Amino acid sequence: VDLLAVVTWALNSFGWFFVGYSVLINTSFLTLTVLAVADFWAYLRRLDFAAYDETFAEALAPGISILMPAYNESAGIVESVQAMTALRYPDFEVVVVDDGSTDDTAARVVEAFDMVEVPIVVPEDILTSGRVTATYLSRRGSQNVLLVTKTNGGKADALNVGINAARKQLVCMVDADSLLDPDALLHVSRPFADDPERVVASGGVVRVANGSRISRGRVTGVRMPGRWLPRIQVVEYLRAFLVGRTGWSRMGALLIISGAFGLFRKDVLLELGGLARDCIGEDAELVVRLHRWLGDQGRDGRVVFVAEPVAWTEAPEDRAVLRKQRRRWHRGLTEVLTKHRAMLFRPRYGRVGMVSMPWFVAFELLAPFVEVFGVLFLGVALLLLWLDGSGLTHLQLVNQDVIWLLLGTSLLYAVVLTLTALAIEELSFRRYRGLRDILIAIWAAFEENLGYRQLNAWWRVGGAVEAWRRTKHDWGDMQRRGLGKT
Amino acid sequence: VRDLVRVLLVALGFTTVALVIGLVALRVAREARERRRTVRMQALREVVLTALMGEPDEANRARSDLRGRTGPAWTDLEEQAFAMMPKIKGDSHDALVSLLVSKGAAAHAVALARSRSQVRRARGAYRLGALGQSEDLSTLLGLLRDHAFLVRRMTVRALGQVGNPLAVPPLLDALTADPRLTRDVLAALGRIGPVAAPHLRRELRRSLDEPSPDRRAALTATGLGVIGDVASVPLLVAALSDHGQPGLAAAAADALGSLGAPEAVRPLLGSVRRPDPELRVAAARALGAIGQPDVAGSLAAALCDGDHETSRAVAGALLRLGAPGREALETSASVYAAEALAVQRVRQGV
Repeated sequence: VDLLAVVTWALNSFGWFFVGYSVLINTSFLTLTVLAVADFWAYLRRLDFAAYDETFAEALAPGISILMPAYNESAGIVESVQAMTALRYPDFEVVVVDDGSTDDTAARVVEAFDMVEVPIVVPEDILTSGRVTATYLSRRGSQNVLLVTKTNGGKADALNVGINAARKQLVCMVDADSLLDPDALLHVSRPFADDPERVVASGGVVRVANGSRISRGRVTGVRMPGRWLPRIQVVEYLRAFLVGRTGWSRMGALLIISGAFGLFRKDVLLELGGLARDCIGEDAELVVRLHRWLGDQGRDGRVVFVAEPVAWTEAPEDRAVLRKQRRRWHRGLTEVLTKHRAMLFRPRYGRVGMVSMPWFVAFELLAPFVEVFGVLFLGVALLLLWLDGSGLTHLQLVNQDVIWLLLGTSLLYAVVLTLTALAIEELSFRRYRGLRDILIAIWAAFEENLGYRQLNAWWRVGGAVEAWRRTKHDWGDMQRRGLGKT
Repeated sequence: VRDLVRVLLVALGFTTVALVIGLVALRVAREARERRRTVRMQALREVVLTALMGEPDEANRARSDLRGRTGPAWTDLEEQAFAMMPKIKGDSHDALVSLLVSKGAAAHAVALARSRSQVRRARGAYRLGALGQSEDLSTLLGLLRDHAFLVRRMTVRALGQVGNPLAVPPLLDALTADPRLTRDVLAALGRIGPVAAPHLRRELRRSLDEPSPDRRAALTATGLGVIGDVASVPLLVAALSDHGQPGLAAAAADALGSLGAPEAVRPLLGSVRRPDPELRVAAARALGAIGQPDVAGSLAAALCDGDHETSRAVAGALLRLGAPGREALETSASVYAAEALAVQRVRQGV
């Protein structure tokens, strides 16, 4: 056997595999983009007569309990709760659940909202591991804030206590560090009004707040951040969360709602037994389990994404924190897909089982592995090409065309997709203004592919390995600078 | 292969460059257009406000200026006027409507309502509702059968704005055909107001005689509560009995609570003990809203019901019954009684 021929064949086969994978992943994303465009277009055309304010700001609107689980969030908790209490919605309460913080999170909430301990009954509809130690109500009648303190049990446990304590029909889960737009609840509850019999959950878009002006817990001036990690995350969130999830929702196959901003029917959460405590991506797991439950029960339920309501979040600004976040996200995804693998290719679960789950396995779960191997392959191939080109060897093991094609389909195609997402944003919501911001965003679309993506892939591989090795996980405490100080 | 690769790379490169240039151009052009439009609409808004609220001679000048507009200037005015309309009430609202109608806005809205585009039809319905002309009722009633949900929804809202009671039966039919319109129909009934009551009473009476498996009867009962029709109390009390219609008894209880009907107290007390949790909660809430102190003792018996929602609703109702209710709560061993009393103390700043 000619060894060189075998190596040449192997290298070219790998090359074609990576090319094929890049084309498939990017083209599938392009399809989602097209679906999202249709959704945005319909939304924008009806904006001037839809009279959402009138539709939702009425006494018949279902009540919403906003759950804010908090663990050592002392730095920003007061501002976040203040922002929540100022939302526009006819009937809502804010339930802050302090999951046994070791800092003064609870004390700061109690002081800021003039709260007193009150024996509020927290039923044990959902079993929890942490024990409720106290409940507090604000003495300011206009602020419907309830604080529940409990022994530490993890984020999912805190949310489950929050569901038990919730006194409204709908439950909105938000991260303690999220900032919601004033009309966010009005918009995210819209699908429940449009289709009350079928809609069981809706999720809103999450955007990056870094660089923007923040005043009293509200984003008042949207700007692109100047620093490299946050500016890349802005375009990444636009592409993946705004465009991608809108596309999935349009297809009726939305698999994930962000834990930073999701609205659920409380009765359905109780039937599901709340959030899973053995899973790091409890928000994603909940939605996948919800789909599974709907399929098993033969119920016609819908999980929808609404692109307009906005939850703003602080994106990590340094590599160590970002690494931790991405490892955590990918570990969560791996756990969820592994746990619910029985849903794959089962028509009973509709488009979720037949389309989105297989897509997530092929293009989310496995993508970082393919990317890391692809980068290694590219490195080796370029080295071999350089050796041949410089006359040091004459092996001709690598087909130059395949390498160019790989670079084009994996990098240039990805840039085109991100630029398309920017164009959609420009033609629809236009949150960012000014020439400076668009130039930064365009630069970030290129920059993302030069180091950031590859690093991200490497971190995500680590997350998947952690999931398979079942290493211990914690609350996912992220060091933040604090919104408003950016 | 080489040629194909070259073509592909050139195409991707070209697309990238086009997108970059397009994005920059789009940003610059749209912001410039937006600035121009803001200035134009601001000026127009001032003219409209002067026409509606200015001194008589200024208002007359502004009105003749507005009447003289044609083409794009009129389109801008129409857009501005419809955007302002929900925020304007009374004589100014009527003056704006009359200005729009005199320039053929109603006919334009009817034309929109007949468009092939569902977005235009919805816009047409919205505008007909904003103009509130009963002459256009038949167009709106036709749109209630539109195949597009968005159009039907806007039409329901528009019929509420027009306020003609003839729309009540078709609204209930639309609701029966599509339960997604529930809140919109109820909001529309609330807007139509007391003149809708005879139609709703007739509907509820018929439902009691001929039970149907949908929620139409329940929503009729809710509608009577929304419009505050005291004359419907006997009917609503009759609806509290089990007629096998989903949600009817609970809706009737809620409506009786909204109406504050003392004659419904006894039947409501009986309903607190029925097995349907939705009804129990609604009946307890209604008893609290009616506020007859002498029912405190009987109501307190339901505090230890075992169902959280009912217990909490009963405790809340007892609080509203004054001293006898407080007494019942203080002597109760229920955790919900302690909760209600503590919450009340906080609210009262004790």
